[in-house]
Amino acid sequence: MAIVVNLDVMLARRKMSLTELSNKVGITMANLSILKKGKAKAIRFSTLESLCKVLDCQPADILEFAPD
Amino acid sequence: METRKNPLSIRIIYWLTQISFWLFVAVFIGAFAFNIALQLELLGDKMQIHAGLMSEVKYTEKGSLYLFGQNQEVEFVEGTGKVHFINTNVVIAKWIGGLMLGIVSIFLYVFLMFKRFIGNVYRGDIFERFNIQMLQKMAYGLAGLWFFMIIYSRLFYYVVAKHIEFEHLEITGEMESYSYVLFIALFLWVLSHIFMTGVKLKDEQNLTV
Repeated sequence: MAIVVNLDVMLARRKMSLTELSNKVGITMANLSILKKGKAKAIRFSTLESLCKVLDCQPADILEFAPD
Repeated sequence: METRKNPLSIRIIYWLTQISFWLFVAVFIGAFAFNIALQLELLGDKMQIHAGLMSEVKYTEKGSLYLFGQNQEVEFVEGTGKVHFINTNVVIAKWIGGLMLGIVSIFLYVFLMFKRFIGNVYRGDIFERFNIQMLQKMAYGLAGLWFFMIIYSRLFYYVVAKHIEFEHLEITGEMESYSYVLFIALFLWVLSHIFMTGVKLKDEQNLTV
């Protein structure tokens, strides 16, 4: 897929675990895992907003376009 | 935990399907046992068999009707019925029994698919790949049933009904097309494609974070 999710990179930079992020954002571990593995088909603006708030970053830090 | 309650329509069709399916299974078992006994010639050759006459009949006798103070001459032009084979010969009985078992078997298959589909809907599993398979199998089964009925009715007319002679009754060559069976089959086929879209949307919804 052309859109790459760099959630694991951001988690490593912030030294945060997926469980901690899940608790802070209010998204289930299962859904965060789908996002992290790049299996998600879509991401809601509200989810992106919460992630950016908690990780203190921009959407572009989480999502990246990589041509096939 | 929130309990899910099905709409009344789904509950009604679910229970009606359950009851009628098991009644039909009982009928099928009876028909199957009857056919085995028939094929093994255990029932003798004095069978009283009713076979559906799948072509229209015309009564050549005229009648009278008193309506609104007027006498009206009438004629019964179109009707359907059953042929009663009196003391049926075992060879004829075997043929009729075998063909009827074929129709009943296809119908049982379609009914089973319907029961499984309704069962899934009742449990709340609606947009599932299993349901698409059930709908497609129902559609193919009904199309097969339609084809079988067409062949059976034509065969019955040309082999049997055409050669029966009555004094006041004429068996016409007009046979039903059973187009409604084919229409239901096509509708179910279309419905399976709608469900395919539903499954796709559900998958996307499940993978939306």
